[in-house]
Amino acid sequence: MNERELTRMAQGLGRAAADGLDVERTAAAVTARLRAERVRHRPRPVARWLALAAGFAVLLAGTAVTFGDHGAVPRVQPVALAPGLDDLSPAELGELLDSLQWQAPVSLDVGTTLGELDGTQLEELLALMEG
Amino acid sequence: MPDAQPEPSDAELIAGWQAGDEAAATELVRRHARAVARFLGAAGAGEDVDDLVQDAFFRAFQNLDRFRGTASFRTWVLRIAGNALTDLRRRRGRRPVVALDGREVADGRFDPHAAVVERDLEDQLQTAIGRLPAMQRDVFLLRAQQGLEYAEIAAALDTSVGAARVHYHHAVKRLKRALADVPEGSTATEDTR
Repeated sequence: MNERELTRMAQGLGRAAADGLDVERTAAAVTARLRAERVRHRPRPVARWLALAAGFAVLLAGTAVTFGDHGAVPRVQPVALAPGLDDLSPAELGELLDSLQWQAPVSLDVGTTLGELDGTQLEELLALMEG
Repeated sequence: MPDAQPEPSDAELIAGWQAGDEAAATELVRRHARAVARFLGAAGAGEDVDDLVQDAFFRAFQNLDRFRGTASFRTWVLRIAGNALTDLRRRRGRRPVVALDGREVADGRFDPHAAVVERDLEDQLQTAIGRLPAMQRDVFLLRAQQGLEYAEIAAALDTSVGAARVHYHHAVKRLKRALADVPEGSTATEDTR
């Protein structure tokens, strides 16, 4: 067999595979996999509870700074838990809380840290935040 | 009468996909899937052809940022398909995956004996191609089956034109050896079919 014959025969190979391929099904399968991959790599939306927790931490920090004894070092230091809010000054945090028309719960001591809240206080605060 | 819309080029479809147009990806698969299936079928992918075609396009779209455009999109996908087949064989411990095409029996216009001989030769050739080293296999098929120039083969396979020629030469030599018992001129020619 010479090279020309070899080439001619090679050109005929794979015809059955090509004819048997369901192109539309293949295209649909490829795009479905690509779609799934895009979804997999999309940044996940912050879960509601996580957003709530972040807001909770900011409010606590704000409470301590805004309503605390300005003559003394606040017992709670603002903690960077909510992106973008940790740069706010105490005055700005106070304005933010005012704009939210948030009042410290009666039973909640000003400057209380999260770890010091009992179950009732936590529920009270969460109920306030959830409106 | 409005002018017919010109077909978008592969480059335009690639740009469309990169901008988030899923239909552009679908069109690229429609355009090139059969060529990729033919390449894989000739390389002996057998019943894995469908999965490998899907894999090749999926990998191609996932890695489009690496597509430099020195070879055509089709050639690039063919290369990825060849790699996918090589990977599959490696995972299977280099077991031969050669499976022969399920070709239809020649119709009555041809000499049945000649048709059977031709099929037998094609089967032998396909088996031999499947046993070539991956680089030789890919170069041979891109050249002999897909009709590409050495320059494009070299660009697609990240090698030099000279190396591509050498791989082709070695592939032809091995295939001739594998089909050594077949006398010259024993296969049907185009005008006798």
